[in-house]
Amino acid sequence: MIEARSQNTESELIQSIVLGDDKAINILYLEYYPVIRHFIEKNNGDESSAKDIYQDAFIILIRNIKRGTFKGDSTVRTYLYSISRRLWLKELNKRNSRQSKIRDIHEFLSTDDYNENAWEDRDKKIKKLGVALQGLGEPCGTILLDFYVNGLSMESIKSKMGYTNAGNAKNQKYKCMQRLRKIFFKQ
Amino acid sequence: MNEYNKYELLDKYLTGKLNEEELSAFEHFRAEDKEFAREVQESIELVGLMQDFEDTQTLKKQLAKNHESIPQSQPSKRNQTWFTIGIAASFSLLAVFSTLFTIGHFSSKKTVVTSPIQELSFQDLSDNVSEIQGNQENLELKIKEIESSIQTETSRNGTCFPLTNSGLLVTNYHVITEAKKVMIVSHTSDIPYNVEVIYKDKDLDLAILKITDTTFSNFGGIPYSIVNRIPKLAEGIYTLGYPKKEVVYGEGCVSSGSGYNGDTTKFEVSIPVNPGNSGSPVFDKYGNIIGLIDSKNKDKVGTSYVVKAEYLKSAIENLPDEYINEVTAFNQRNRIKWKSREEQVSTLLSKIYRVRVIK
Repeated sequence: MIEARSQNTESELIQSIVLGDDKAINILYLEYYPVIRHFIEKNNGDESSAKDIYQDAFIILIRNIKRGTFKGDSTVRTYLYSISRRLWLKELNKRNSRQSKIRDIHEFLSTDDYNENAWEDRDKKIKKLGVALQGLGEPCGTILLDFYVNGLSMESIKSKMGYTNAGNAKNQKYKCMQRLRKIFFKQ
Repeated sequence: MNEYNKYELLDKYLTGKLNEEELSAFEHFRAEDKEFAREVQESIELVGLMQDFEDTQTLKKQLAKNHESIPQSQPSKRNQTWFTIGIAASFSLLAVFSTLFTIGHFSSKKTVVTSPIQELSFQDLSDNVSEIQGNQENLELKIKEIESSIQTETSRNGTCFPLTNSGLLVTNYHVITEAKKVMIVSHTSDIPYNVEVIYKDKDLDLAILKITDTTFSNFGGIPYSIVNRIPKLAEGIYTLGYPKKEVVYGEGCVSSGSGYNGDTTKFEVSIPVNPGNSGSPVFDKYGNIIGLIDSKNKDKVGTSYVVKAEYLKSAIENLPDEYINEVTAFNQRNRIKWKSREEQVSTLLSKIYRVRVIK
């Protein structure tokens, strides 16, 4: 039944995702999990690894759909498979010291066909930021995300974090940002 | 220009709040001060990564939740895999069919709001006001009384809100129909702008406006997001509109998933609305726009109809090619999500505009 889904419906789903439709994301997610799970299990993985790899790959897919870097030159299936394959290969190599061999169940994009750096670099940086934020701890994590991402005013942040005035909150935010810059860009 | 603090400007730049004058001051600082320029570059990268990070966290939660609907599998034998594929496929098909159903794919022809042959239980919420009598009280009159008074020049009021930061707005078709001239005015600034109607859809009762005044540059950033999702029964919603000269706040809840006579392009809310509210955005508790006010049921008190956001989306998709690449409020980040209701409204006030139509 999955094979019967026309290319048309898939591009409609992708269009919906670009426009912010969460339901389309869920539909796509459920559709391709079995393929990736099958792949992981065929390559020395269990269901829990399959879920982790799949979610990582899927997040990258959605990120690229929303940024416009996934344009549908390849099918979603091939794209997801290629990313999952690469993530799993890295994981396997972490576990054994020698190069692992992959038994493929699907065609995949070679690094010539698609710019691996397009997603891998960005993904690494986002994870690096996550680690940096964790290193900063609280209240910096919350203050920075609330101000720069969630759009809270200094006034709201002051109330939320319990500062005596908005000026204190602003100072705190400034210090947090300086620390973040230092941690992130030090190398 | 010298009284600007460059760090204040940087913060405004990073949160999308610079006006034109501030922007040029900012670029000036950036060009003059190498150290500052580096800080700017690093901050831009960090803020972008923070946004991606938050999006990732949100998506992770969504996927984890979604994953729960996948049945736990048995050890993978070939049969089991196909069985799971079958179940996943059924879930996806079910999801697809419910989506198709709710967008009216399987229903018969939807009710057309503005058809003159239609029953008069429907009341368009554009308000006819005499230009000569600028009296506030007139706005409280029922539509019948207003229509029966004959004036030489009448204007009509409605509400509209931005779709793009560059100057597109949306309102109802019935507000601008047969207009000689359309203008918009904001509650906070009182500066009127001329607009032209660049798109009309009579069936959906939508119209898209574009600001034509060269003195206008942009809306200063759109703080809300328009979200295409099915409204939940009983969910709390609020609206901001112009049933009178100033913005009026109303709140209520979603009372039905469909509109008048089962119209699937709309849903029903319990907010009492009045003429002038046509085109008012309907917000959920996070400040996401899930629809716009269209009309009310004259026979049933406190029953109003809202065009679903899904149809705003399809209207945008039908815009002429030159607008295709505009960043619309559909993929805009919602900046008011975690604010209190009062704070959300206070941020939104300057973005909701009154439509003035000269017939």
